[in-house]
Amino acid sequence: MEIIKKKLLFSKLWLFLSISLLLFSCREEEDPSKNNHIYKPTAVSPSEIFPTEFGMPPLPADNPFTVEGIYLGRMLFYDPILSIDSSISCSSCHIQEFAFADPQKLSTGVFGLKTGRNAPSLFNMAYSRKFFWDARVNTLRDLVFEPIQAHNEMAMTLPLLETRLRRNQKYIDYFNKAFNTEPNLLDMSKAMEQFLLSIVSKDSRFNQFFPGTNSHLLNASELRGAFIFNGLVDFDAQGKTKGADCFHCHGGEMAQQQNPLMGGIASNGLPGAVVDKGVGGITNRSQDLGTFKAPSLLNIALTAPYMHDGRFNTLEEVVEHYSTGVNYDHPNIHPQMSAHGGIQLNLSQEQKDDLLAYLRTMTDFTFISNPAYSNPFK
Amino acid sequence: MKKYSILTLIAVLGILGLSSCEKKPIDPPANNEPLELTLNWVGLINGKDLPALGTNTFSPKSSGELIDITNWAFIVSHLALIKDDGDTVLLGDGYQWISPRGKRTQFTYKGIPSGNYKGISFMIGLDSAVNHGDPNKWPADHPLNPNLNGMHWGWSGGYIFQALDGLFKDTAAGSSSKGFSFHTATMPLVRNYELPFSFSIEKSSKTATINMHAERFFSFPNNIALKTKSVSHSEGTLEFQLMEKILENMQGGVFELADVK
Repeated sequence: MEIIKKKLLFSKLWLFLSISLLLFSCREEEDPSKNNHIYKPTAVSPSEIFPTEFGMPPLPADNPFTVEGIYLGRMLFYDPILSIDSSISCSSCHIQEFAFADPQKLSTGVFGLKTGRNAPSLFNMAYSRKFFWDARVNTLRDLVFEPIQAHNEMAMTLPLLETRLRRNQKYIDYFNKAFNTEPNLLDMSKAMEQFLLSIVSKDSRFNQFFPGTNSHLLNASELRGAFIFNGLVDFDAQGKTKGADCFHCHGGEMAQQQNPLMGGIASNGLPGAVVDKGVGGITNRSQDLGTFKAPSLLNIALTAPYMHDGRFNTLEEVVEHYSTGVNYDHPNIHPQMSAHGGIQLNLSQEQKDDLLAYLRTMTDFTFISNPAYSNPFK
Repeated sequence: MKKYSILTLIAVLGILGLSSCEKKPIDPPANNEPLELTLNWVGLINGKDLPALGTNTFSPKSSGELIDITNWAFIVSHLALIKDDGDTVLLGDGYQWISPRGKRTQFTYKGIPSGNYKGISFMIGLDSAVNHGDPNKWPADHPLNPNLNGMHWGWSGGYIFQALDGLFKDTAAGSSSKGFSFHTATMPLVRNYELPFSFSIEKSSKTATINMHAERFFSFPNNIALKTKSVSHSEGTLEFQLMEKILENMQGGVFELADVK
């Protein structure tokens, strides 16, 4: 009897060891959320961020959206800790009420230094594959390091920035919540990438009108402006064109051409010598001199002054440029602009007014007051 | 007896446990590796490689004009291999966006059935339902995604099937350049192409080279003088007629299946 009990005990021991071994061998598949020391961020589906009418953008596979990641990125965007003297943040030059553009011709960096170009607006960046006026950067993750380190913007050094973040309790907490890490520069850039990708502007009247089935949303002048914007340059016997062909470089639901070769990067015939090399300054190719990334025209009424150098103070001046001021002798003017013979459009005053009225339908008032993009420290 | 039952139970549990821990089932080795075909679309102008030539380089065309093609892109559908018996084998889903300047010229297709083929066929343009369907339904990396290719008119106008843009100089009139722009669109301007070439795919993957002779847009059988008319967006009678002539030139020999090896 005793022997049988011992054998049974031995068998139970084997069973226990086998199951223990089995559990041990499967340890890799444990749910990390069950570990009290690891925080599991809350996933955000891209379908919650991007509207179906825009389609789904390409997204970085190694940086899925989380509530905590987006929030951390937003904190960093609004925090002057990123600048050398803690005087300015990203939001100092990218202001929400101006569609994250800057009403100054050139922005003011640390120590009162001026930037070299007008600060572009920030929205719907998930759909872009080139960033900055000269299209020199391909990802938002890389983009964030440029203004942080630029001597005339934030002038920060990366080691100092990392040290600051690591000494800051709120960032220690939030890096842990978002990435289960201590503050570090890579995850900083990924958090900022998440926030920047999540900024979407989609609720202007233009966007509601865009399918073309809601013409009642626009008044008569705005509707005429739509036809001028989307009409091709075609002069009649009196020399009047029915369209201004804006849509080739500023078309689609986001009023922006994303393909560089189809008008996404172009010279729009700005008069005067090419002072700023633009894309040519990056590629060192003569055919790129004086070309720039064509911006979205969504919220364009909010983003004065205009062009890479902020040379035009008003939308009226911009429209006048395309009507009478295009330099068709610019060596790299986009072929689309000069294909009609290099003749000034000479739009009538009514056409210009209509075009302006249409451009103003592109303002998204919901976007500029959306609390999801606002300063989290207020 | 009981001892053996317990030991058997332990053994079964162990086997089950170990098998449940496998991360991925291992597929049995395939007897026939799927064959691949790489399709290489080579943009040429007067026999020279177009992308390598770069922009700001003018090449002669007919009519004494010089041209610099800055952008050439087109959308293909029903892209297929033609079998000897006339049946077709669709390559992928049959759609492609090709852009020599944008360096979208080489595509590899898997699962090609072995056999003898007599050519490649495709359509430049789209079926009406696709052309006028919701362009935002396509995944971010699909060739028909408008945010990727930038070749959708917006609204309900459908896609630009082909864009050919650039600069030209009328050498007789001096050296200043002007733009040209030919954008093919609308259903009546959809065209089919069939490129004959006998080849077989049996034991190994192959690469097919399609040469694309850009200068032929303007030269055969119709001479297109850019100084006369340098723009067509397929709208209106004159632009439509001009585009028809250009498409006739395209069918006259822009595309050539030069090699399969």
